[in-house]
Amino acid sequence: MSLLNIGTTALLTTQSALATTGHNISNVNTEGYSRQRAEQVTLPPNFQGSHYVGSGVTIGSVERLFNDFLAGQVRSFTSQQAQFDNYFQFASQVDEILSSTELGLSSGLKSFFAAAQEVSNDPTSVPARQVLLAEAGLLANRFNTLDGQLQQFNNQIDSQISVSVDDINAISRGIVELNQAIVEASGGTNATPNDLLDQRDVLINRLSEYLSVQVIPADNGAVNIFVGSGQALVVGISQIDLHAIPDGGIPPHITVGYGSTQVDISAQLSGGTIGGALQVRTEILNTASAELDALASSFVAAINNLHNNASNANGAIDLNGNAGGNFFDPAGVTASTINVAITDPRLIAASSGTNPGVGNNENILAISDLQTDATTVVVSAGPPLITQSFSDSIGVMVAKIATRTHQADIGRATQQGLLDQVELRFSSVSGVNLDEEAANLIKFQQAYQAAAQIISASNTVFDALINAV
Amino acid sequence: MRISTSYITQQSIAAILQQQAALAHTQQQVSTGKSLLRASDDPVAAVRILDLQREINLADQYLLNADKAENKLSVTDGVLSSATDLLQRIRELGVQALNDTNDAAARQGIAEEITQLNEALIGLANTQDSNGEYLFSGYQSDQQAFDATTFTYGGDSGERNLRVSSGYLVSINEPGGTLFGDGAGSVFQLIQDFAADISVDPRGPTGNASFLTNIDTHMDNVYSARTRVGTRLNVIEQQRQINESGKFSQQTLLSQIEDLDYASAITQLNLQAVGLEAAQQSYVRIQGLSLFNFL
Repeated sequence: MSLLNIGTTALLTTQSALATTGHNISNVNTEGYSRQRAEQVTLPPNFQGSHYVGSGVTIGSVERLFNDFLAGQVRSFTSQQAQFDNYFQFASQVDEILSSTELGLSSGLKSFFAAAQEVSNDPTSVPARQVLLAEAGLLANRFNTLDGQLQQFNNQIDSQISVSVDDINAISRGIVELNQAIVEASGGTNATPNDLLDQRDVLINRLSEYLSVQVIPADNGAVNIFVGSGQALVVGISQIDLHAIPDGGIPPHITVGYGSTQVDISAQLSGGTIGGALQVRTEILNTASAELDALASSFVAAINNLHNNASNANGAIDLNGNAGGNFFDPAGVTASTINVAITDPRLIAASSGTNPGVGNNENILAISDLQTDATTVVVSAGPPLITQSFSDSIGVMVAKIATRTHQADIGRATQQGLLDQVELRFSSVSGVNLDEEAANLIKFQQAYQAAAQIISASNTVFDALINAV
Repeated sequence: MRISTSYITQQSIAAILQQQAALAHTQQQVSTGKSLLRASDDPVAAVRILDLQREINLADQYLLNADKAENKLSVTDGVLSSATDLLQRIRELGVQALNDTNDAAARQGIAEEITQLNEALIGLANTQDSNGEYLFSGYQSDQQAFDATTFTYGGDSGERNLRVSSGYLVSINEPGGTLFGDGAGSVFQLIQDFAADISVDPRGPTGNASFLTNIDTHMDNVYSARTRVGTRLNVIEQQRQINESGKFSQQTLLSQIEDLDYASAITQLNLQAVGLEAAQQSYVRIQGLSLFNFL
């Protein structure tokens, strides 16, 4: 092997090294890019009878600096962080409307009972009765609005799940295509198509924002992706779709179905925005909605029980001297349907059945006293029977949502911290450092100049030989 | 440890964003004056705030009710006070009429004055409040308490109670039936009969000697009603003080939990502003550092 040839191998090798450095520098801001390194190896030496003479250098391989374990950790923390984050986004909105003075029930209830007290102070006053009717209507309206808001959040979750499922399927298809390209590109050789691997890892990371995924590599370079309790999304070069399906509830909500049979797998899914959405739906929205309904139904029952002459043992008589009827529509016993049954203020039954008269305030006084009555809302039918007041009931509901939101906020921050940690470690292996690349650039530039000198030297040597002849 | 260039950028920006979020939170606290912006900031305190607000609202309502009750009772007290004066004057005239030294003309004059005073008394018993409700008709407050000729009681024995504290209901009216009697047994009938008798004969057929005893019984009823009204007014005053001092301590507590400590918030705001500025400046400085600058 001549010096010229050796010089040439050096030039070619350094060119590849420079190209790799250039590739690293140019991809410094490419999402998911892992830095590469041209591994230089010596060429096989030539045997010269008694000894070996080196024959130059070549590129053994271009390695991708990547740590599978750290990549797996990044994915897992990404899923958990996304779950907490999505949960927190919805929970904090519910928290905000429940504790708001404008929308919250606490102040609505206060105004209703204050108006009832005014009627008890002045049972003959039609304006005071009119105010009570208006406040009752506003309170019913607050129930309706809160329920509507919760319903709206649920709809947002529905559309979020639908869109996510579509995106997951698109990502899975992308992974399948890359699997195919990677298998073909690396077929029969030891060379790895580094940039395709990076692209596939980006897609898997994106998937892990939606759901916790399990990644199992196959021998041929493809990866298999599983979700939930082992449902495959990607197996080699084939893919199974997820579907947005109705969950059969009333009203129906969107959940996640798997494969051609569209079996509901939402119970098995965790992590990611979908995991967070499913969790916030059960823990926050459905809980709050059920508690609002329970409160509305207790409220209607308690008020009607006293206001209706038929159910009140002490009697209930309105301003016209007639028997009192239902104050709230007895059919509207949920937060969405609660409404005031009477429109004529004279029909408010302020008087009791004993000495009924326009000045009798016994019944409206009893209704006012429900505000602080600790037996109005049944918490547990028992035994032992556990009850609480309307205000306590609201307090418990607000506290429950607030606590869970608070926990999600803390969880979100914790997961973000953990994610930052593993991302730091991951990027310390795979990320491009421009200073390092600048140093490499100088190093390989110098090597290139030296290799050029080898060519020049071989030329000089050859010239000396020619001139000698 | 080697750090990737994009990670440095990413982390610096994340740090700046975090500082901005913290700054915005403090800024919001300062602008609202509340330390708790939503329940999840501190769930325990949030529930405490709801409880305290409810207690304060109730106290406010009880104070309002106390005002109403006091109003009504003061009017009643005034009327009863006038009624007492009238009854005393009638009694004095009665004593005078029963004196043998009066001649027929004098008795006639006394009888006329008594009749007029009796009419005034009926007027008082039929007093209406500003809402047009009869004070002494019990629950039948739209019915005139006493018929001007038959003296029949048109009301009932209902006493309207107002809640002036969580454990105390106060009655704001005195039913006229027990106060003045009904029909033939009423004080008005007694006075009318007496006036009719003395214009004829000081010791008339209906046993005028017992007039003073009978009117004393009725006066006792009015006196004890006044005592009850006075007692209630005192109790209302006591309850008002209890409610007010309770409300004050609850408001103090609420303010401690809910309101922002401006001094520390402003200090924090300054610290956070400095922190943000430092993060921004260090970002620019770090971004300027590159080996490429020297190539």
